[in-house]
Amino acid sequence: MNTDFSNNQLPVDVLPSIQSINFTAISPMHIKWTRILGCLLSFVFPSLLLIVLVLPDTWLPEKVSNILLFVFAILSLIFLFTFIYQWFAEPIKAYALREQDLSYQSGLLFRKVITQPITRIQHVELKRGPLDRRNELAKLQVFSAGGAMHTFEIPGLELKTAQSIRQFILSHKGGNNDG
Amino acid sequence: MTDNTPSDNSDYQGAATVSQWHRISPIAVIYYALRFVRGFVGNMAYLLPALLVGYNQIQKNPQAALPLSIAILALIIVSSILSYWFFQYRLSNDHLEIRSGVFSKKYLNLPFNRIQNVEVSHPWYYRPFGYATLKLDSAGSAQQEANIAALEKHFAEQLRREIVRHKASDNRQSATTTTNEQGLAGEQSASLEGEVVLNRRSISDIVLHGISNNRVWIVLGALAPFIDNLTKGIPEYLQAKGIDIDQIVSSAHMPWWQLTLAVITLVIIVMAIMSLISVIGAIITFYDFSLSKADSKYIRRSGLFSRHEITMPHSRMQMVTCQQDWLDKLFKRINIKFEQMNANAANQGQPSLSEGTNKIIVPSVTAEQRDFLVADAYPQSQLPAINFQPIQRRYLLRLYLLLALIAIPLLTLLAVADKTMPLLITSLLSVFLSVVIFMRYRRWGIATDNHYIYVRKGCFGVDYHIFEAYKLQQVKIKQSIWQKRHQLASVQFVLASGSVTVPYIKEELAKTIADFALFEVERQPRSWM
Repeated sequence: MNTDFSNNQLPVDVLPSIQSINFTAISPMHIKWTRILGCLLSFVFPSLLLIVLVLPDTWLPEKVSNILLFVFAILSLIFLFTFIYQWFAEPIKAYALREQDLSYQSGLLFRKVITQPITRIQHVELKRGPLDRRNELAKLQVFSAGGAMHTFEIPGLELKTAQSIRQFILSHKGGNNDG
Repeated sequence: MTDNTPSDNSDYQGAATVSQWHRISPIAVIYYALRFVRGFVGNMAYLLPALLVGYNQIQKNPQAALPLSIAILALIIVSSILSYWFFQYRLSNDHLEIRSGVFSKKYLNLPFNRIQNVEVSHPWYYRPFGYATLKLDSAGSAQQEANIAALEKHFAEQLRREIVRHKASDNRQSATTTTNEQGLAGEQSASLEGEVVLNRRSISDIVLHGISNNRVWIVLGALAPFIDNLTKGIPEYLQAKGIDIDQIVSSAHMPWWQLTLAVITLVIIVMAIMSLISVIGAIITFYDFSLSKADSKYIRRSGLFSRHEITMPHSRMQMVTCQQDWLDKLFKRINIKFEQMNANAANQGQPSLSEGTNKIIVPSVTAEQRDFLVADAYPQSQLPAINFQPIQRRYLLRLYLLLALIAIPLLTLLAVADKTMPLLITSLLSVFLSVVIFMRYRRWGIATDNHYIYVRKGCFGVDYHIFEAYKLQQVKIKQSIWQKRHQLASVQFVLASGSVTVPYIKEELAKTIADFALFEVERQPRSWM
């Protein structure tokens, strides 16, 4: 086997551990704006529902208005639940950058901690929507060779932080992915 | 036109010379024609309206059929010839350049060291003439894939070796060289000639594989465009023979045991036919199977009509899977998979007749052969001996609660309504499901030594996944709030070939193993490819 494969006993307390990661919460600005957006969205469909209800009967055939009512009711519920979920789930999102890896935590009922070794990152992308631009924020997308299923995105990073994380990843030594 | 003679081909070995553009052999016209037809059949669904209209027209005036078919034939021939004519390749400076396309021109430059897989296949219609197709995958996407439709067999083989050899020497130069390869460096001069056959499969092995592993869907998939027509015909055929299914099924005169017997017979017949098709599929895929190793590369050759050859450098291997379904367990056979990077994840889980290029399957080996192959791929791995940590009992609790929540109200409802048959079926199904859940619980386990991670899972069968910890791409630890309360967690290892999950282990264990894997990845840079 490999001769550079050594197997010396290591002092366990020296090894870095997932348990001891200090996570940094994402920007409060992002949380605030997600909530505002969620709130607005959860009003859209109930108001549409209301409009359909108060419309004179002659404007829409009964079949159409029934379908619309049903669809809008479902959508209202979905958006309402999303809003409630996001209210509590958004503040849980947090990230941690260590020398060798980047971790991201999310999920309210199902907590998920992804740890991505930096040597295994294929590329990173900064994404900024209109709201992000307004608030000087950015999303960081991290791609590994694990495939599209396992690409993750850290939202609500301050632009400067996002840029420096990206820079850190790009200039990370020890990346040797092309054999 | 026919300038791909072997004398010509020595050109590229003097790597610095820029050779001129070559055309492939004209025999490629057959390849392109068949590809055209296959594309046509594959897109049948979209063309159906046009076909129906055409069919009606022909029925109205049959004299149009001849000119029409001639026109279609001409179209196929012309397009194939054009495809052939505009396909040119050139080898220079360890690059492969391809120009193709009739209307929209395409230019592809593929450096040898970017090529991930080389597959040489010998379609049946080439075999009398001694030609082969060369398929090259690069690390990127499916678009970065090159198909050289017709090369002289000898030259294709030579080119494959050249690319593979180039890749190997490239690896040696890089800092990640391990003595693992140095041990084989002595053989390097012998290059690929020093090929050692690791495993061969006889027809009986393949038949066994066909029976125990359902390949029906692959064969049916290939037949998919025609299935609609086949199934449409069946009721009419039966009716013509005077058999009325409705009457048989709804017949009140028939005693229930007769009906049951009839159903059982039918099921057995269907199963037999399916296994037969499956065996045929397995033979088409795996006929004359051989797995050999040369210069730390695995080479798989198999196929009845089209010979496929897949080469996988040892360093590309991401995971070894030993799969044993319940029938395999009866036969005491195991399927081994050497998995490598899965560039087009969309194709995952969709086996084809050629079995794809992203893994090497060794069908239905015995336990000793498995141990030999696993030891060859992963020396010092301790698969047969290692102790697996089982998952926690709470996994059962959750699923049984869920099952009870659904099954008990349903059963009481059916009991109250006095419906015997549905009640029986539901209770049998519940029992079956609880057995399945229990078996899954029993199978799931995880183990590590100081280099490998082992995962065991399955239901009635059992699968072992082994991978080198440093090949990990990403690790996820998932925990629901209920799991957190009991210090449990699920851990998911993401590799370039796919991911493996182990649910409901102790949080402590999950984190220890994740830390170990991360440490293996991060302590020193090592290539995972």
